[in-house]
Amino acid sequence: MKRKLLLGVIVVCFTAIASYAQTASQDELLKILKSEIDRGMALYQKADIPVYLISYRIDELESHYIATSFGTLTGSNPNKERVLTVQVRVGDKDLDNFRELRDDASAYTSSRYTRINIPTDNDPKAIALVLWEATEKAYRDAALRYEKVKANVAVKVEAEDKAPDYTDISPVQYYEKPVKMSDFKFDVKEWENRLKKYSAEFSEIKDILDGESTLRFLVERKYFVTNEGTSIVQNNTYCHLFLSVMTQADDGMELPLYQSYFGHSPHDLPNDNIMIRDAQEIAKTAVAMKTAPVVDPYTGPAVLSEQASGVFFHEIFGHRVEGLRLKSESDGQTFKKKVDELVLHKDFSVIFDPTITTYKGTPLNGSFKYDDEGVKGEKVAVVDKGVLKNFLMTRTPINNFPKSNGHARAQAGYQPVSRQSNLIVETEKPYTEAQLKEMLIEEAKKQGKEYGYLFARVTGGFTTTGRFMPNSFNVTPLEVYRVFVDGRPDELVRGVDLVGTPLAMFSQVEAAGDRPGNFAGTCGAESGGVPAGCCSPALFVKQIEMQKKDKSQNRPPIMERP
Amino acid sequence: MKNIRKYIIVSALFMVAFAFLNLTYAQTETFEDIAFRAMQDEMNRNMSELRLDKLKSPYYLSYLITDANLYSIEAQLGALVKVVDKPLRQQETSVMVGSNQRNNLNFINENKLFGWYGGSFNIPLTLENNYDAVRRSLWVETDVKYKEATELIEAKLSAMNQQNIPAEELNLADFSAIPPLNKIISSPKINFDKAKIETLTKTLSAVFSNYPHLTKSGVNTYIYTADVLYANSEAITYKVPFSLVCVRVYAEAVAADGEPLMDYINFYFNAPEQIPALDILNQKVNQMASLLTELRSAPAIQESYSGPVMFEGEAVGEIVAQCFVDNPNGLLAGRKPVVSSPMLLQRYGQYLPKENNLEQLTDKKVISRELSVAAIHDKNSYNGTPLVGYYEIDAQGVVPAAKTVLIEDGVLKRLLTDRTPTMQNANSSGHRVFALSNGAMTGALGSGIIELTSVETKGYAALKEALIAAAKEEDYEYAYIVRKMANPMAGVPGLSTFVPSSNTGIFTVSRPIYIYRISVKDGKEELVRSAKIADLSLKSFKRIVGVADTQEVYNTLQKGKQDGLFGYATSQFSLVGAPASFIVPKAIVFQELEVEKDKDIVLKKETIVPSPLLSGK
Repeated sequence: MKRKLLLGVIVVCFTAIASYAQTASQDELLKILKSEIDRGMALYQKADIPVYLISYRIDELESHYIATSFGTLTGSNPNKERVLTVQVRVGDKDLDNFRELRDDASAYTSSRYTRINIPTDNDPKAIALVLWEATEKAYRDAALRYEKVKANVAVKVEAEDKAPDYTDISPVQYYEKPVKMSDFKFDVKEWENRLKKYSAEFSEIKDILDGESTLRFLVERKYFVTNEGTSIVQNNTYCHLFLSVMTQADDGMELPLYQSYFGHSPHDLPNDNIMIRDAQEIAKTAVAMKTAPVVDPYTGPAVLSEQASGVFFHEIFGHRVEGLRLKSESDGQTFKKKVDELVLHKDFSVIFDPTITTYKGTPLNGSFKYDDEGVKGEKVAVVDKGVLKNFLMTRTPINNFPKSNGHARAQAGYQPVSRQSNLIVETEKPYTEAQLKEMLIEEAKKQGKEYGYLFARVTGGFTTTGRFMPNSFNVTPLEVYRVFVDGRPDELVRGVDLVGTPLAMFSQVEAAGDRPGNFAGTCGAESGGVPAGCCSPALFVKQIEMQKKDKSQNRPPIMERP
Repeated sequence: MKNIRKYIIVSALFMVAFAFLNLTYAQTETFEDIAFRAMQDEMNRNMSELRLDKLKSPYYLSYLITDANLYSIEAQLGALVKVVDKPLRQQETSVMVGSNQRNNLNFINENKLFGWYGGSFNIPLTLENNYDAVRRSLWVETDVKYKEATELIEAKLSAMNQQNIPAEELNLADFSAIPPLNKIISSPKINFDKAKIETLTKTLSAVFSNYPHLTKSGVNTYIYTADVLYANSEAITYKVPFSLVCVRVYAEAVAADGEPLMDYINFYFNAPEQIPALDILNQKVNQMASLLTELRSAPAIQESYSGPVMFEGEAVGEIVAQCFVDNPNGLLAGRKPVVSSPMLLQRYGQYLPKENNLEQLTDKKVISRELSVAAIHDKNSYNGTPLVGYYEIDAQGVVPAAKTVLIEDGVLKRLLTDRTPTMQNANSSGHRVFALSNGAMTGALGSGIIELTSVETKGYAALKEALIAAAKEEDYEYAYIVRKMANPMAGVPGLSTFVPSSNTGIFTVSRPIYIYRISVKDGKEELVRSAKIADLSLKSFKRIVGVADTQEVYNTLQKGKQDGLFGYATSQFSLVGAPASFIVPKAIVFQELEVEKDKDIVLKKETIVPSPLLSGK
């Protein structure tokens, strides 16, 4: 029986390899990349400063962006391009040119970004010439940096993290058949009309200064080839739709509000009835925000909606478990030495999972099969029942975490670093919305507060993880309510940011809701903007801190909107 | 009952008719009609009602709407890289507070310098024929610009009160008056065969496949067509067509010693049908590729030289463009702004607009008496070559004279101006030219078409002899001929090593791309490289050995001068700048220029891996 199972596995593997060979061998671009990498490697590995790794990443991007404002079309642009990102590593895996340069001013003049377009036609000569020139440039930069790294290591104190700079992996061959925008029956005219219909909902409300609906549909085909024998071609598709409005209070505070939708194709997006209902709802809220009271700085209990909680976790926790960051001597390394310690309430688990494309019925945008270093994306249980277990790793190891779990990610043109995929927060003890609200009221009473806060909608946030600046975070709320302990109706307020420091804030997370949320955002960091999903239930936090939001000093428009 | 029914029927008919009329109106009204109506209505509303408490209302408002289409295609070695084909509608609003004598212009404070003015949102211009949408875009921008203008005028008046500004500067108006204008210049829609343009672009780029020593190459073809619609509160309205076609060919190479080299050709036209036949362009691209390949093995100059230098062909157009127009003390007027504090001048002086020092030499000899310079506007082509610098009305609605004499027999007569008066030039010469910036039209003080002529000319052979004789006189064994100078606005890769940094505040011409040594013994020419011309300026035109007897056209894009501080950012693959044409002699010999080795060039090491184009060769 065991043998049969084993045989079955072998047959499946052979079929997969045969299928890869058959389809990949017909891919002209793949052939060009492999040929040029072989040709280059034969000589670069014999150079004075030898190369041990060359990788070519091609992001083939086919997109269409539609923008409408107050019911009229303002843009409808197709785009097709191929962007090359070359990585050249010199030295050896123990010490290479990607090692951090400590106290070095060149960090401010060098860029991790080089956007190079290559032909969209599969012309071997034309593509090879661009690859050759870009590789030579990358080699010169690598060799220069490697010499600096060696001097830096010799001159500076011993680094705390003793892990090598890069790890071996088994080469991977993976190939998906080409996918094109035309495969999705994406009807541009139909979508232009639909978006116009949505933004037209804002036309009649004079208090809305700016009312837009936009859609971007992106079909991405990623090629990744290394001299180690890895050859991956995979597809991803993203379709984002935004409804956004802005009003402005008399005190100058600009009050943006938006609703976003994500799908892997336009067909995943909600129908017109839902969109129009949502457009009307955000319009109504945005107008109400104009006259909502401005909040003073506050500490006390709060409930964060599902969407707000996702962003909250992404900022205060997610960025601090990105492994490559923890290797840096200038990083705050908040959680590096807290493995196997309780870092969160024992009911909570936090998972990063790029392998799933939906979570409880909603599409996720942080999914991928292989990361940008050619490593299969893995589901990583970072926190298990409150205990920190793992980090998001690339092929650059850190002490005690020697292997990649497939979380090296980058925007086209950027060098990859550890980044989040689909963040999923789960709880052992889910509470209903009403229960969370009850907890909020009880806690507010306990703390002698007249009210607690409910963060219904946020736009995103940012965090600093270094040591020089305070290791803090900022989540930018769009829609916040006061929840009164005496039973008065909730009151919409404005003018606050949710701020804090990660460890203090984490210890205050008490309970979670019973409904999953999903925030499909684009996270910006050292390796550019990458799609990141944030799924979390609503949270009850015993103590949060709010500070006044930076606001525009401009008066609202003098004349009424025509 | 009957009457009521009749009333209902009549009403219904009336409503149907009314609806039908509305429908007809909506269907027949063009974007031009809608845009002018929206501009006029929004202007009327704002001129009569826009006002912040206790502060001044605007006295001037203008709107400029660009209704354009951009088609651009890029190819390398015969392979397609990228195509952009999109409509673009953008608008530019200008608001002034005060009066023509004293308004918010010609003033710099920290907010203006660092770009702190501006609103936090804008409403993009609609791509549809939608009156309300056009007005919404204008409304936001008018509000923002009015608030900026109001703050600036108050800050300016305050600064002026605290400074002892000379009377002549105080008396100088901030803006000059011009007569009303209502001119609609219609032009047929420009259609072109996209497949043909793609073939042309790919075919030209494929030429470089035969030149394996060139490290990078490509061809970009841009076809930009627009209608520019303008209205202001002084009863000036116009519609003018604007079109610019550019076939941009570029290539890079590395010399044996590692010097980075590059060359390009920018073919500029006003319409796609002016693009020459493919075989003609093919030949030119082959010549360019061949010459750049030859330059790789040309010797680098080692010794300094101070003697006669001849400029020939497009190098003449380029040095005239740089010395007479790009030069801050050239023929474009410059207004000294009121500055909010001396600290700004001390720290950021190089970024601030300045007075043009040449203006003080009005009615004085500034170049050789043999030479004259004029801005001309009576032709849009010269000997069959299109003049891309031609326009009928400038961006402020001024119709330039057919000929504006700038330098007559070597004596400066006036500078080119827009509506910003300067000490010697109170009125606009109509040179707020149209410029392309980020796909939209804007106005910049520019030159349009410049003609440089000489009363004394020689045939080309005689000129070359004169060059050799002058070199002999200086005891040199050779003289120099420059055949191509880098154009700072060429918009091609590899340009940065050939053009001076724009942040120094000191005018320096670009480096030659092709410079030859000519032997005084036998007239033999040798291509050399690594040279720079250290001292070429407008003053160099005072000492001329001779000028050729034939005139040629040089079309280019120029940066011009703007109210803004940083001008246009050059973008590698976009069409940026104001089209300009120069009708200049085929060659000019200068009495004495310094040619020396450029020691600031960072040499490249030989590549580890040979070019794939050389593999197996």
